[in-house]
Amino acid sequence: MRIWKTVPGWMMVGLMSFALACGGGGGEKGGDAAEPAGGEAAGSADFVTVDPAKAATVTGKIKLNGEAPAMPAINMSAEPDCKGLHQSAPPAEVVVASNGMLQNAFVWVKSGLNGKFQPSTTAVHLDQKGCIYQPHVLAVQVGQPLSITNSDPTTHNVHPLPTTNREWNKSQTGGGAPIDYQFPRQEIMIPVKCNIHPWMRSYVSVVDHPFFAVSSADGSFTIKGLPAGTYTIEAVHEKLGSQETSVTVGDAESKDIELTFSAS
Amino acid sequence: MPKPAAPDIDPVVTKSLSVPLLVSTLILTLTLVWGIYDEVYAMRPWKRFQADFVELYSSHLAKLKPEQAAKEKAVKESAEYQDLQQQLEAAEAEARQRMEEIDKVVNRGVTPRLLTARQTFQVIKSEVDALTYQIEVASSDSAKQSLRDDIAAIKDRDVEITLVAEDGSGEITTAPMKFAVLEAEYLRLQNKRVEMQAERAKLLESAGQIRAKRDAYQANQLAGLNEQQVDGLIAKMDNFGVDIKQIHLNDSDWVDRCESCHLGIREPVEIKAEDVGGRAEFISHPSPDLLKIHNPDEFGCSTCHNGNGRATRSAVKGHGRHKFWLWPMWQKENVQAGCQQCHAREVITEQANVLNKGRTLFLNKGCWGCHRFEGFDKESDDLAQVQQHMSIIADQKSANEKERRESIAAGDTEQDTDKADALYKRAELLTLRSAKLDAEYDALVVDEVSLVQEARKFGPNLKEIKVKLRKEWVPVWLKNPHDFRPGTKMPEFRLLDDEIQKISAYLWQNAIDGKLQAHPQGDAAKGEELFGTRGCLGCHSMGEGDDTQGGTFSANLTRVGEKSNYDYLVRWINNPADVTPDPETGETASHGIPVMPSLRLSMPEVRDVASYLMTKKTDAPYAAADFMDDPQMAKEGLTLIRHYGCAGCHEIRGLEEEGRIGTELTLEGSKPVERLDFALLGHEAEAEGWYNHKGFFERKLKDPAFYDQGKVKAHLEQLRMPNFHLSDDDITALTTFLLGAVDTTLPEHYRYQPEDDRRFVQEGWWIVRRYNCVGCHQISFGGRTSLMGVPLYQDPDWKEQLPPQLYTQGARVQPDWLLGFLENPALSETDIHRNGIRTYLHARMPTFNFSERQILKLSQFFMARSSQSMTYVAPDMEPLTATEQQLARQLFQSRAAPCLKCHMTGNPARDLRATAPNFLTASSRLKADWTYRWMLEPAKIAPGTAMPSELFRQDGDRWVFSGPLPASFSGYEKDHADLLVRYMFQLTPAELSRLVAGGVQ
Repeated sequence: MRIWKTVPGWMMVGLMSFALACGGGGGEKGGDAAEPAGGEAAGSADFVTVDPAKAATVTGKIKLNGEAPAMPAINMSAEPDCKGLHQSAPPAEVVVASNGMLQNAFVWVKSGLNGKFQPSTTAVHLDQKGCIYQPHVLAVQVGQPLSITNSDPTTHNVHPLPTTNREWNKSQTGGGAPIDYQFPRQEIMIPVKCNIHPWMRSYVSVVDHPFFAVSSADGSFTIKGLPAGTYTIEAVHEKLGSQETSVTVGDAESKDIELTFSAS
Repeated sequence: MPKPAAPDIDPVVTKSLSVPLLVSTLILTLTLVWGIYDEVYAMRPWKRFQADFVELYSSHLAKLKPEQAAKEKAVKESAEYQDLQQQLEAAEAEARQRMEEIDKVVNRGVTPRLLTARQTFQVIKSEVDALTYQIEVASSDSAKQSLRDDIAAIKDRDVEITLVAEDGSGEITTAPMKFAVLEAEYLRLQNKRVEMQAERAKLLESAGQIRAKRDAYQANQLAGLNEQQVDGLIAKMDNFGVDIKQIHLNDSDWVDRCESCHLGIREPVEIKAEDVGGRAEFISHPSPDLLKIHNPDEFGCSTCHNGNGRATRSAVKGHGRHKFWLWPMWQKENVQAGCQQCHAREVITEQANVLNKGRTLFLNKGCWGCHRFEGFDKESDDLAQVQQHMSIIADQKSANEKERRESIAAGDTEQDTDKADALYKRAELLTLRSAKLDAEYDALVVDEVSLVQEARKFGPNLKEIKVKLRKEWVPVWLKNPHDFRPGTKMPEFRLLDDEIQKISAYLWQNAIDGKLQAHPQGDAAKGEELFGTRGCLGCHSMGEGDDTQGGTFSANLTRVGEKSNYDYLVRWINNPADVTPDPETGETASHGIPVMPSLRLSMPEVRDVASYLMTKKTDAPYAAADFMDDPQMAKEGLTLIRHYGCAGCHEIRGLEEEGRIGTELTLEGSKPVERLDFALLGHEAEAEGWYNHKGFFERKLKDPAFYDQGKVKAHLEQLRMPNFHLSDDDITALTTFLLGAVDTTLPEHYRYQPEDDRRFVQEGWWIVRRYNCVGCHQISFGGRTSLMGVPLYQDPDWKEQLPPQLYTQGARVQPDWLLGFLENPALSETDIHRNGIRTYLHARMPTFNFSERQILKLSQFFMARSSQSMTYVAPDMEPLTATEQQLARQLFQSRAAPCLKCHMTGNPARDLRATAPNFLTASSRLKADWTYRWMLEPAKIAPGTAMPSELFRQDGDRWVFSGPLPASFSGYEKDHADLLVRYMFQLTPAELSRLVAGGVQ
């Protein structure tokens, strides 16, 4: 049926093409798409290695401009088990500074690195002791094990509140088995809390390379083992926001930097 | 004689025709070749697609195979798999040994022995049978007797029979046997063979169970297909048949050949474009979940997507993207229009977010104020239906009554007792029927009352503007509401200045001039805190531009202080259903059931919030508006108000019965494109390729005056549709909704019109959307509430202050409790300035002035969504023994169990720190099975909950508390979670205070 309908069409077109087309070889249309690229994906297991002899170091201080607010003492009366573990009520660790130097700032190479770095297999330890997280700020590499323990007589629950990683909330009895976890994605300053003891707070940063540090009591930090290059170094504080600066290091070079937060 | 004229030259003879013939032949041949080429190849582009697909997909599978094989290997090397594998091997080895024994005995012993025995037995038996027959046909008793003797002789004869040993050892024995012994041996062997075969099957079964377990483990652990399955697909491609792939729906004779080219749609491997050389036509369906509930073999393709499913000559024809096809395939961004045609009853359809947004916009921007759209007028449509039903019942009843009276009258005069009795019985039956009708009628009266309350216009009641608004603000607002309040639902009418003045004058002079109660000022700072934490931001927003926080459902209040009257705000916040009567006539402006709920604030709190809101203003100047008192202006204003259809959304005095001014849009997507008024732009639209519904809707929504372009018209003859200043996403969503608003040609049974519990879900969503429950609660998966976006709630501590998730609310609470809670969320008649359950939440579950019908429908909604019934019979609970009570109390009080650190106990000082409800409410509120599941794994019910997981661990088939247990638990063999549930559900206030008093703190 359809063939008959279209016969006159063929004739017409046939004649016309005969009259007009001489040599424009119709041939195959572009039906054959290019061969699918058969190349392998960029070698995913190739980690960047830095020659220890050439590794650069960035050290520095985190300063605090202005008066650090006095930290209120934590009221642990709801948990006598923990209260008893402290001589006097411990202060909250939100802003800890002395002599204008800021503790507990997370410092990391925010950008400037190329390639992937082997995750460390050494577990990082987070302990709950006297109803306080120790340490208050810590960091792991993506895929590096974080081991959480409870050294208190009371039960805690460990509740990280990430945005790009998976949220979970597990109870852990005093002296119970450690909770081991590896974060699969980079995320800075994930709050970790205990719902049972609302004053407890820790911040875990997950970084996809090993170049990070947390400022110590004198505000100092050290990032070792860097390949030569220009990097953006960022310091992040739970309360005071973030500060960043750029630094260029050559092979085996050591640079000292300063980042300053403002207390207000 | 003249010479005869020479004959004309005969071209046939004199001229060669070879050239024209050759040319014609060539033309014909070429045409034939071209025709064959066209028929076989050019008009069948799908052949090329199929060849390409086979090649591309095969090479993708070839690449996939080693990947999957590696994954499979990893799974197979895992400890769990190995363990199962070893179990399997052990079971198989054990089975193999026994099976070999069985096989040996059966194949080499029992079976050959049985065969020999049977053969011999049958020979003898046939002799006996022949003689037995002869006995029956024998004529004399003596002959019969002789035959019987013969039989006995045969049976008594010893037959030499050579049999192999039964144990399969191959040993052969020859022994004489009598018939009876042989028969017994034959039957015994037969039974033995059956028994042994059964044992063999059983051995296979136990190994098979372990194998099934192992395979299930592998399937669970392995992402994607295993190697064998990939091989299956490769083989399928190797044997691929190039032909039309067609779906034929028998019931509707629907034919779709889409899969002739889109070959990867239903492949079990997810195919992405980059897997098949960037050829997007070969990818898998982006939503396999949708295909699971709409199996293409039952639903087809073009049923949802539109296009011409039969066409195979080109993509353009198949997709119907040309002007001769009335149902072109939806563009990608509007693809959910396809859902609307069958899901027309719904305001929320799962997995159709764009469409849902379109419907919600239609509902919440008030489009239905001017445009009727079936389903969006729920209250008045339902009311009409209810009233119709009521009148039918009334008619039935009066007919019943009449017949009843007549029957009684006839019975009274009937002489025949039987007949009289039948008449009286009839009357009695009718009485009962009427009683049933009465009950039905009364239920409808409840609905009617509810629906009358519920029916309200979309916008605010303008009869109250005099008590509510600053006079000078009215004309400023009318000029362009979006200048004053960007994003407001009130659209911009293109009013001339004198029109604004006239309309303002009419509205002002026709408002109630009531006397509001005067209130002292409150504390604005406290008000600000309350505004930010009580939950106002679930619906309202505050701030402009990037600083905006809160929901877009209700007004942005950044400049509310410029327009409002303080005393009115106090009245409104305190109780939005309140009215102020006109001092002269007593007339009030009814708000129906206001969308704004009462937050049950105390009066000082109300004043604080109102005082705060009054501070929200700029110092923009307002010109005096004396014209608003000019009666002449008002008179002219009435005509304009009617012209612009203001009464479609607002209650306005004198226009109470005014109808809608817009076109009905229920079937707008089916309207022939010629009937869409492209005005002077039709040719341009055709040239530019937007002469279709999508093009029309998008431009009209973007700029409602668009089709006035190029026309010279008087102002009042111009297009009236106002500008809603919609975002592009909003326009796409609304266009999708309108495109799907079609008079579908699909058979009735394709439409989603369930009459079971799923109906409750459909109905409930309308109420949920109308009152914006989703501003505070997560109800559907992945939904984000307005509060979740507010900066305050980003703080880890405030996250716990978010209102509860309601994903599976119906499984959690008892239906009767829910009814009561929705009616009165304070759960108290006296202590109302608080939450009934979660008193620790700053955000307050408000009291909506729901009608009875709405409360029922919402409860049904939550129950149906969790597959729960509205009737709940609490299961019998095993009573706690005195010991168990002791145990449970000790566990609760132990250091390891943190329950009382978070859960409220009724002690006000402690409850300040609480973050979870009081256990005393459990037995009347919760379902015990839910509570049990909740304790074991709360994160599986409410992801992100503050309640921790892993409080219990599995121990055999019971759950035990995972921390250190009080010593008294030794020897207690029952389930600990169950113990705590029973304790909780049998908790008395006295026991609770004992519990708290003896606790660790």
